Amino acid sequence: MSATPPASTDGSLPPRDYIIMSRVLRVGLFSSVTFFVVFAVLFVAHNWNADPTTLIQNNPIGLYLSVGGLYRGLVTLQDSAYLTVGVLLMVATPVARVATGVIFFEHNHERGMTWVTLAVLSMLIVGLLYLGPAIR
Amino acid sequence: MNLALFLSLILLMTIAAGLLGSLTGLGGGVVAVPVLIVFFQFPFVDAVGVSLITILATSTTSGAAYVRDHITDLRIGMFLEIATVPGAFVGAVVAIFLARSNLEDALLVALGAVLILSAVSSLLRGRQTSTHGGRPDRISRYFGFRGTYHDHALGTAVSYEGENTKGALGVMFCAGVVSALFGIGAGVLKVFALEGALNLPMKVATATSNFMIGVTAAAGASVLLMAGYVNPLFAAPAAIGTALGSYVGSRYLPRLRNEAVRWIFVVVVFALAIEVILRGVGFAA
Repeated sequence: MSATPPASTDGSLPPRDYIIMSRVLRVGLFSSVTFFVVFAVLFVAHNWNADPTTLIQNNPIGLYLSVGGLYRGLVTLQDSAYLTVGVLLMVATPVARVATGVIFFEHNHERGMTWVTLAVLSMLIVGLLYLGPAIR
Repeated sequence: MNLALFLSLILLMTIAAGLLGSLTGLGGGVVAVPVLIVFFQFPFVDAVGVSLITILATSTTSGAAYVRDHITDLRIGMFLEIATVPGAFVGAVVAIFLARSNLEDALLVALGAVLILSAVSSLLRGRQTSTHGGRPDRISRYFGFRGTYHDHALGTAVSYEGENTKGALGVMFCAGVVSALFGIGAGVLKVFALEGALNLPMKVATATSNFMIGVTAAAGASVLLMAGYVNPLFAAPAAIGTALGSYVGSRYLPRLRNEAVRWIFVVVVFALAIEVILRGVGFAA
């Protein structure tokens, strides 16, 4: 802890950074919820008489956990593939917020916080791309 | 039951969960997970997967509002995520392996115990009064863990400075484990670390906890999602419901006295905890 202290002295980021980070969260949420609303309604319309218990036991997500599988689902207009995109956007929103943090701290010349947020971002990406698939 | 009715019930339940989660700062998962298991017959890990998506929606909605209002301490929140993320990975992996080892009943009993602890700690937290004139540690000084916010209820500016960062990191790791293991925000532990260890004012601790809950949930959800335990059909209405509930909650948080909300929360969570424990020991229908 003997390195150069952070440039900021009042403990807070510039107000513009707060606004941008708030917007990142809202855009991610709005995109995800849009997918959810549109394709949940379409799924119900296409599967009006489906048994919910069967749908719980037969989770379709396994079909869309690869790039190829998700692509096939999207081009064949599977509602559940589009719902999966909504889930991915929801999970990606906080990850995008962390990435934004890396940029802010680097821009403010706060080397310590830049490395900390970069480490968090790296862990999130590794978890998504490697840890989950490894135990599927 | 008709699919539309089933999804509508999930939507209504998660609106209530999002509202309570946002107002208490504990996240909607504390209500959502047991309700999905008890009323909608979800397997444990699937309920955890859906709940983590609802927590993402809650945290993103209320977090955006808190960040905009400058109540959240971004620096402290983002620093402590270095402990909650690996904790969440551990929790998610353990949840999957316990469920695959047919130890779901043990997970239900443990969940019930965690819910009761959440309810009790929520009551105790409401009676705490903390001071904010402590001595910052080296990590806190180096990273600049200090700030000021305007408290509308007190009508004055409140300053604070972080203490005992190492202790907060340890509690945050545990919060990550608990969050992904049980599909809850683990806001109790996060607020404890922020208010109890770092000695932040409660409003800053609550807002920063909400802000952090999203990244913790994203870490756990990413593992469960890629392992095939998040059902997008049920995650959709659950996420919309919690987003609506938490939007209303975060909009009125600065003007609301929390005592009545706490009592409603405690009663609901306690009842659900008893039901989950009974189910775990084989006494429930």
